[in-house]
Amino acid sequence: MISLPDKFKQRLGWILLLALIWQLIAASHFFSELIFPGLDKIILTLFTSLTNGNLLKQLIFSLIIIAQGLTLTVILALSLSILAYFSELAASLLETLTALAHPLPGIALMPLILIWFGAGKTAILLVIIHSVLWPLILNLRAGFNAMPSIYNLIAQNYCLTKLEFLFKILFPAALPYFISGLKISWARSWRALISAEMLFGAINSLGGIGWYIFQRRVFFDLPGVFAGLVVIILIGIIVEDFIFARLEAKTVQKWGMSK
Amino acid sequence: MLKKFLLLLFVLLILLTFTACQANHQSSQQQVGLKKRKLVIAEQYGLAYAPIQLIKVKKMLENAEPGLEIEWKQLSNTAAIREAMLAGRVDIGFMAIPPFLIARDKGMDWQIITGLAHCPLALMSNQSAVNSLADLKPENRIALPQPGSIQHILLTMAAQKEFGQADLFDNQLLTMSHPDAMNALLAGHEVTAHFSSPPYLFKESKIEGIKSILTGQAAFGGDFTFIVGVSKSNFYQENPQLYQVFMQTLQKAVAELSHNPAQAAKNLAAVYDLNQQELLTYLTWPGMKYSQDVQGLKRFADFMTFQGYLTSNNFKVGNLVKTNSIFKIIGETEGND
Amino acid sequence: MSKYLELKSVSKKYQQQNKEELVLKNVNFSVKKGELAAILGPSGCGKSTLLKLIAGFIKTDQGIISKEGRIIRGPGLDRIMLFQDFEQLFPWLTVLNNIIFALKASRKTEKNSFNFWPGQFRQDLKLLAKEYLAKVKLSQYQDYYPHQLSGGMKQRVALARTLAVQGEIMLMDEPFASLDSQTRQDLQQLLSDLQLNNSRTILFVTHDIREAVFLADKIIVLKDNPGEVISVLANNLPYPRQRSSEQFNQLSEKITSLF
Repeated sequence: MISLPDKFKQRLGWILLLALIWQLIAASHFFSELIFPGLDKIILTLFTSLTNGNLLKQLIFSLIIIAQGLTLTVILALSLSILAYFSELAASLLETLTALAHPLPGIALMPLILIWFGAGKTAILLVIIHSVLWPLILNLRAGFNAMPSIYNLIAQNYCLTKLEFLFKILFPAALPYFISGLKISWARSWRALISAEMLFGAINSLGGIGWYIFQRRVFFDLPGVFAGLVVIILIGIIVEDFIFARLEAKTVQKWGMSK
Repeated sequence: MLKKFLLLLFVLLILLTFTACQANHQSSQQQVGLKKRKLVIAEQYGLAYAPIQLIKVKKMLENAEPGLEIEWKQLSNTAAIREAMLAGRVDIGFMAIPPFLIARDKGMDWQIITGLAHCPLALMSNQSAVNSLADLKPENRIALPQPGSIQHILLTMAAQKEFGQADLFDNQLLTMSHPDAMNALLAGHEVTAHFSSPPYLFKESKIEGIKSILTGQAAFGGDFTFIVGVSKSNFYQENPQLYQVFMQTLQKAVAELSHNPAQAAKNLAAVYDLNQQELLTYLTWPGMKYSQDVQGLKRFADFMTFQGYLTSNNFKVGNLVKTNSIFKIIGETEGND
Repeated sequence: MSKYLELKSVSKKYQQQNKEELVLKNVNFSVKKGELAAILGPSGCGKSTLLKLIAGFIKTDQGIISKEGRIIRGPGLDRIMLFQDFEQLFPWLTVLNNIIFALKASRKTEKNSFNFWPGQFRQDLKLLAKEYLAKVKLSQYQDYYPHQLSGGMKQRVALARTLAVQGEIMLMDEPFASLDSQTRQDLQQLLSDLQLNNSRTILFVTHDIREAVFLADKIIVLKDNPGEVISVLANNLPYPRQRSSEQFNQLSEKITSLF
């Protein structure tokens, strides 16, 4: 076996153990199979959905929407946070907006979004942006404010323009906060997307992973529901442990800036 | 490390077995023990459920069986009712035939115990250019409660009949509750058609520019029961008396709606938040029929099996319905030729 | 050129909780070109404020600061500051890139107007940065990140970065104060060696009398509360200076007696 870090070995061990327990419970038939399907059934459903069904396309569709939503939100959050960094007026406006909007769950806004924008892709994007924008702004602003004040003096001393200051100093200095904000954003956008899909139904002809789960549910196919959940977990692990972990290893960890 | 895991596994297994034994013990005690004194009934909003509403507001069950505790659950969709029944939290649930069949097909041990209502259903459109299914373009959206719902199955039946392709419109569906769909239809964007049921159907049909492009009866090719009552078999096996009380009470409620709709409208106006006169119009709308008979079951089962929505193809209507002298099964042989 | 850098009746007040505090009162002194002037005083005597005024980070309340007869009105690359804080290096840049950052900043105009071949420019900067790194004897650490270095090494890099700007005046704000005494002496020696040909004008703030005696050509002694110049002494001890020599100790004693 390839030498995995201990953390992963342990995690793998736990997952195997939990799977074993799961399978034992399922095999005991203590619960009805309709409530507690065995792993064999779940994996079989997952496999057929991936090969014969549309699950893969639905997954890609969901990921594309998330990518679009996140990109838009990152641009928006960066612009607003930078504006607030340089202007106190903008800062107080942004603080007010954040205080008003941040506590609102995206789901609660859905009826409103439905009426204003219909149940299209715009609606889903809006739900994603709403659930991601505010925490990202909070993180970014915390990151900007946590920048050592000495950098300001250095920027003055080395006669940097505002733009140079942004890209050469402020952004890299706030990167640890940005990355942790991005992590939160990712998790929240995933949730927002899935709940939005389950509420709005199929947005394009196929729908996404949330729609897959909803479909499995209405057809009373619990192994299918679990298969959808397994996919979500797998994506979560891949993004968290590979993409983000790698990003952090290459940046903030290498630089000794981990928060 | 491995040793530790094995040890942990062992401990957990023991715990597991222990709790399993205890739970088994408890449940067997319950079975032998007291007669059930609580009845949980789940339904949805809609005119089809009027007999249930009548039982609720007139406390008909409480009067028929003093000391019986009754809990009413109004859930927002069929899937939620099914899941609650699967979890054992609901004794009797009401839904359309297709969702019942889907769960039955997946192994849920339940039967139809009664019919409840026949209702007009229709696909309503807000666009003047759309007058039939053939006018629907691929980008037009059709709102209905959910895939696998009776509205969805009726749509596939019509698509099969007209175009020879049952899933023709499956990529155009939009899952919406009836009120949301009605609002979307009125707003005029996003949704081109709504597969509607009463009272939304009646409200929509009174609005200028919204019209029916397909009726449920046309799609089905005849009459069918819209909503049936369902329970798991262990309910009526373990509580035969309670079951019988419920059936007789329902019979009275259905009778009031059929023979004295004006009285029923008076009793139910508050429940439906409609004025008495309007409700009476709705209750006596052509096509509305309250009856415990079950009609159309076989054709639904055959069609859904043929289209692959159901996988086990040896459904016998006799196994699907808990028969009772109170009602008849209509049309068991139809579709066999 | 006797009055290269000149301060005339400079005063500075700080607003502190509704009451004004006079930090610097009527400060007068001048520094010759190529001179290393130590500004010596107890902590809280306003020495750092003095340096910030000269750097142009803050403005005087009264009096003027001029360089070659021209009044200083803001920060500039001709007056480069070296801080005490180890955080002054950017953690996201390698040692070499930290120095290149300074080189780029000081050669911005050159890059924009003269250089048509950015690749070559980049190469030149790298070579130049390596030279400066060699001066502080850290060549083998060029690809390290700041967090991998000891405090003394960080200050050496910072020194190299400050040198790399080639500002005429270097403003050093107790750069060695946070180091252990052995490292401090090494760095003092390094600075002294680098300054042998009097290529820069250096203002060196310190509260350490022996450090001032070791390094400076001129020692400006300040008292606290409010900060006022109490004495300006010339230090003509020959190089290399011996900390154990009699003259060294005499001068140190003399300064000690001023407080």
